[in-house]
Amino acid sequence: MMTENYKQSRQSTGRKRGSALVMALVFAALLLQMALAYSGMLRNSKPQTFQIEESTKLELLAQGLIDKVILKFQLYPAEFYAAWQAAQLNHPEFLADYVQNDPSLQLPEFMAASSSFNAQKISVAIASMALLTDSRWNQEALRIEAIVTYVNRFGKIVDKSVFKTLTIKRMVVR
Amino acid sequence: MAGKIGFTLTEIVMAVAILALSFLPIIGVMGSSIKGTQKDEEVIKAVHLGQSLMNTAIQFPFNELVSKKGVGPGPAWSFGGLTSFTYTTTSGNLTLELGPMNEGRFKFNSELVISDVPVQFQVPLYNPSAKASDTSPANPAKPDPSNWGWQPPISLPKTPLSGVYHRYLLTVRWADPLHGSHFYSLVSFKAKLED
Repeated sequence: MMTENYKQSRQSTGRKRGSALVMALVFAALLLQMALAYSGMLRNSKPQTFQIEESTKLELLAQGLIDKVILKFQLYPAEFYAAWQAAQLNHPEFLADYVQNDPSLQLPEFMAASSSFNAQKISVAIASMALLTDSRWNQEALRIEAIVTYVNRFGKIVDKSVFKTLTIKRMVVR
Repeated sequence: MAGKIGFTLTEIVMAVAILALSFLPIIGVMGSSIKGTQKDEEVIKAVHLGQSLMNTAIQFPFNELVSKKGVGPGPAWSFGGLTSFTYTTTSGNLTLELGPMNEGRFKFNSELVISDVPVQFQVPLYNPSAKASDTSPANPAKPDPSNWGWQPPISLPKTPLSGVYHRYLLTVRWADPLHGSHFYSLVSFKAKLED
């Protein structure tokens, strides 16, 4: 009887022996999972910082070039209106000459906006100018689109459009 | 019998050792994450400062100072609530030294350089009197813009126009004890536009 009880006790103790190790291993595996998830979060947070940095640069450059095309429009409005009218009559080539084909409205591979942690070439160009007319309210507006292109930190080409719309008034000079 | 139920000292020591070892990479990841967060904080602070200074600078008529060539201290203006600055203009460039500015534990120095960019555009010209006729000789009922006397684009004005378009280059500099000195530059342009 005594021998029987001793055997049972040994078997039950044998089953329990090593359970602390199993628990520790399970716990360690959970911690490893946590560490992996945490490092994944860090990997995601880094690009977000650079996105903020990039978007600030791009926005300012695009706004600067849009300012230049507004200056061109203020200096040579008649040519724009004629080219716009021609584009409405299925002759877009004159508007293309005024907007897209003007090399002064392009900043290819611009590098002055750089930093010690990110020096990328940014290209900016005026992509379109459109006249928005509301005949009911007798209002006209000019919508300008600039396209910014750059290669991001992961080697991917990114295109971004920046728009500006301003109200305009036509004046007849006699 | 009861004394045989439970964990042995060896098991406990081994379990603690395993847990301690598993904590090591986590501590490593946390250490690097703290450094990464500090660097991100620096970058974001520099970006915000640069953006705010550039937006302020574009609102001021600094581009008009560019034409006033000469070297010397500028008027005692304050720039976005900062201490007054000095300016120098040599050969059409205006340099504003801004700072030092303390943002939390970082100390930033900024420099704004405004330079004149002469402009000349490619403009397609047309003949307004030809535009008035507005039609094609083959089909008088159909407007044909190609008969408006368009000329290939020419460079206008004949000589590049100065003093109407300026480049704003803002550079924010700061030093970090861990990673050394850094800079962040922003560029924008401003035209003198009619209202």
